[in-house]
Amino acid sequence: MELFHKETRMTDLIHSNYLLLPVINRFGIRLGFGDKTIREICAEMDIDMQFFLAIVNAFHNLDYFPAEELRAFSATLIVDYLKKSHHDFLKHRLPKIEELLERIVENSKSDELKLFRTFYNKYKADLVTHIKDEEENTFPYVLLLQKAEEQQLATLPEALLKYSIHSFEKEHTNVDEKLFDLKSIVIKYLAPDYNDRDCNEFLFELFEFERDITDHARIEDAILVPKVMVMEKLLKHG
Amino acid sequence: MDRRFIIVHPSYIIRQGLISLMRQERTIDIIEVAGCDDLSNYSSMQKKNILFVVDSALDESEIEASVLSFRTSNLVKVMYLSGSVCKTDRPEKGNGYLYLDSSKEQLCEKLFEQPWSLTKITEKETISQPMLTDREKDVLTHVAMGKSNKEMADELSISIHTVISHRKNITEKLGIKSISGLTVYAILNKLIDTHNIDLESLI
Repeated sequence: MELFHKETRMTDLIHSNYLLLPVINRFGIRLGFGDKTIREICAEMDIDMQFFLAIVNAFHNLDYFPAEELRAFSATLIVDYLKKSHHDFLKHRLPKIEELLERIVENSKSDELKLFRTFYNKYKADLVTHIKDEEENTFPYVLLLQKAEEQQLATLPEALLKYSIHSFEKEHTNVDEKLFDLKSIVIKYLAPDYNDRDCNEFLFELFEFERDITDHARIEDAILVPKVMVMEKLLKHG
Repeated sequence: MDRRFIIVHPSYIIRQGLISLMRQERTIDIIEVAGCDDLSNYSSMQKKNILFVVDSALDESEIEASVLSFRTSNLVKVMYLSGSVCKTDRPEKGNGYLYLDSSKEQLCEKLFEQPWSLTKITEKETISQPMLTDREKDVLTHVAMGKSNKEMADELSISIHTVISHRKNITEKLGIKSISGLTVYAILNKLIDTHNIDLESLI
């Protein structure tokens, strides 16, 4: 699989993998960029080009994960991207999935599909709690840590001393399990009373969402957490 | 069988040539890097059969050091690309040699006919899983009702170890990991009587 580089045209990026559309949106890039290259768009919109390239390449190519390179970026940059992704999940992806699920349930006579809706709601509740926790606790802590590092504070504020990333570090696997199961059960065990088109659309959305959130979890687990651990070591233990 | 070819060679032309050859024969995922340093960007790969095609001018111990991280979660073979077939005996290196002056047929034979030993991973993928045993159905029903491992062990008169064993087998056979998912499966397959139960609290 090819890697995108700074002279790759934005249009070729999208033609290569249209699933990158929401990803570039998170950087504020919208369609209508003509023949501009990644380098040109990033310069124009004041986007960190190396970070953008690392993110799109990691998303596009599942085997490619430049962990060390990504950990070198500032925590602010990483957290900002993660926050925008959360927003995308909660405001676009999940509502779309729910809309399709409602349509399926409405058009079916059996109770079975209501079961899937209950299951989905459980998953959503878990995910929303997890995201809220990150935005209200983990991310502010990380940004505070970053500020302390930049200002080279001699004494750290109490908020930082009280916690460590381990207080917040949550395993992503449990939340992801339910999503995987929902997909599996729909594919393997759905009874004949359903609408083909509706269910296919629903599964398309689930697959795309799963791809997105797996990539997201990878960034949190393999980039943010280790990076913060290093920051903590430097700041708290000299 | 999930295969990857990883080309490690400083020459752009040689990398492109190898890619072109590989693509003509099969549609496979190919990764190309100029040197060992770039390999770390791919070391998160898992459960793949990987064939490294490496410049023979590179030091074997340096290659092995870079390839080592791939060996923990993947099946790995390493072949060395050399200029021409030596008339004299060459010491065995890695999983053998490829030669630039070989014919297309010879190259393809070496690249694609490499036997990969059957591993646990590939075996699992090809055998279709049998249905749940009666005992497994019992355990599944209890899991779906929200029982703990200890409670299940007591009610079914088996050890906790056996309960865990059954749960593992169930997950493997059904491909369902979460308790909620197992509950849904149990309800769909009428293993639980749902008449008097509030679904919301169960799942």
